[in-house]
Amino acid sequence: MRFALWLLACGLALGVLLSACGSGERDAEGEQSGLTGTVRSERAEREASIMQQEEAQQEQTAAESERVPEQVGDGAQGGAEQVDAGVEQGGVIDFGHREGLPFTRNVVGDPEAPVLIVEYSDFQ
Amino acid sequence: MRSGVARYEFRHFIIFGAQSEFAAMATECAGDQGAWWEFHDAYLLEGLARTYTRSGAIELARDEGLNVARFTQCIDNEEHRERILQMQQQALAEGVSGTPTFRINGQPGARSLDGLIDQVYAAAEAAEREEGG
Repeated sequence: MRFALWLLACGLALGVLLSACGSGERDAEGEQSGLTGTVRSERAEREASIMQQEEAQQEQTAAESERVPEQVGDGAQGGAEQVDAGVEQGGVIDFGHREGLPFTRNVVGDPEAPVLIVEYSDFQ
Repeated sequence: MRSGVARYEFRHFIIFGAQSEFAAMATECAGDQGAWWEFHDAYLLEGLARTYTRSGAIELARDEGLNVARFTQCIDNEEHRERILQMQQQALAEGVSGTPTFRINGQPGARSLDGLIDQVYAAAEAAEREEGG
């Protein structure tokens, strides 16, 4: 009888022990799953951040490429890769006492103006 | 006088040698990038001495926001030398011998400012008369 009770107690103890081990594995799995979820979340955030940066760079590049002809057109500078030597660049002067006047390279004023004033001069 | 009657053209006439020729070429190179008048004013109005050197002209190009590599290539290759020489030859053929020399609709300009202004007004009135009738 005592032996049977001892066997029963051992069985119960073993059962409790196994049950505890199983619970521990599930907890470990739960923790691992949580970590995996955290890692995935961080990766998604990084990817989203990179995509935002790339989109911002693309927008900046597009904006710059749109500004180039405008700058050339209004007498400012830039966009030299598009310009060949000898091409007559013109626009409207945006500085100094000639501000607002149209120009084409070394000529300033209305291209249709009937009076042409030519000055021969030297830069010294 | 109404607006839009006259336009002004600057033509190079080199009389002071290499520095003047360099300044003319640098200005034409700037003109390739739409900055002819910025360089003209740097030389004639502001009298920036540094711009008569290669490094000074490049610095001005950078200040003006030009494509410095393209500008440097242009001045180093003297891409507008022929254009400037042609202006010079044409001026000599027209009897230009010094600076500044003016032409108003092809006619020799007066030597004084008042005389020039009178000539421009007279040319403008003549043009208006032709338009009118």
